[in-house]
Amino acid sequence: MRIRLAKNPICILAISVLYGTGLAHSATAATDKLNAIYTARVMSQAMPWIAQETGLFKKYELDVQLIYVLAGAPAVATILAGDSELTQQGAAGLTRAFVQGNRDIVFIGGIKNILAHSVLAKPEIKSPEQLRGKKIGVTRNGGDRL
Amino acid sequence: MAGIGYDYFLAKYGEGVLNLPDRKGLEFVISQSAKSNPKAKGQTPELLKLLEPSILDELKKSGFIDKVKK
Repeated sequence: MRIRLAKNPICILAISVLYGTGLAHSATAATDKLNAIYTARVMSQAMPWIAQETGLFKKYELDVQLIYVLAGAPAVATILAGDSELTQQGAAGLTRAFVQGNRDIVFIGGIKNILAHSVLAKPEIKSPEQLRGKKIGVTRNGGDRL
Repeated sequence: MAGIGYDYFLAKYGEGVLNLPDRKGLEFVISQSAKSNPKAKGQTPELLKLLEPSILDELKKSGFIDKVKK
């Protein structure tokens, strides 16, 4: 895929805009048909489906199937298994995969470099410091929501 | 509605758009992993070759990124 994109700056534009935060791609991908993972139905991950709905993928001759996969370990496992060439997800899970010795993926771009999540607490909690030592519920372990 | 959300996101978080993941963030994840995984000790984003900047570099040279963030 990288070779073909290098010949077509417009394709580079489309792919890079659409895949961010934990963006990774398989070093072995070599076609225009791509299975692309996204891991949350939120605005920060809206770029791929905006591109699909507006026909940008087709315009640049990319046959992209967008696949929702649970964030964290399931998404990491999906791309490491070779079932996907691109993933848009938090960087934490992918970085842990690197640490474990998986080097077939690489970050090529990002969408945001901060956590845009909110912490919701009871009214008596006035500052994050008050949460120290307390239990915090998260939507899912292994993603970027810890 | 999607357009409103997109514009809001870009205005609030646009600085991180089309950048590589923050190095300090990656270092933090590696350090957290090192607490339970000895393989993570002494690792850095560079040693792990986490980042591949060539595609973004090409986009920056083309001026596209500046155009998106305006």
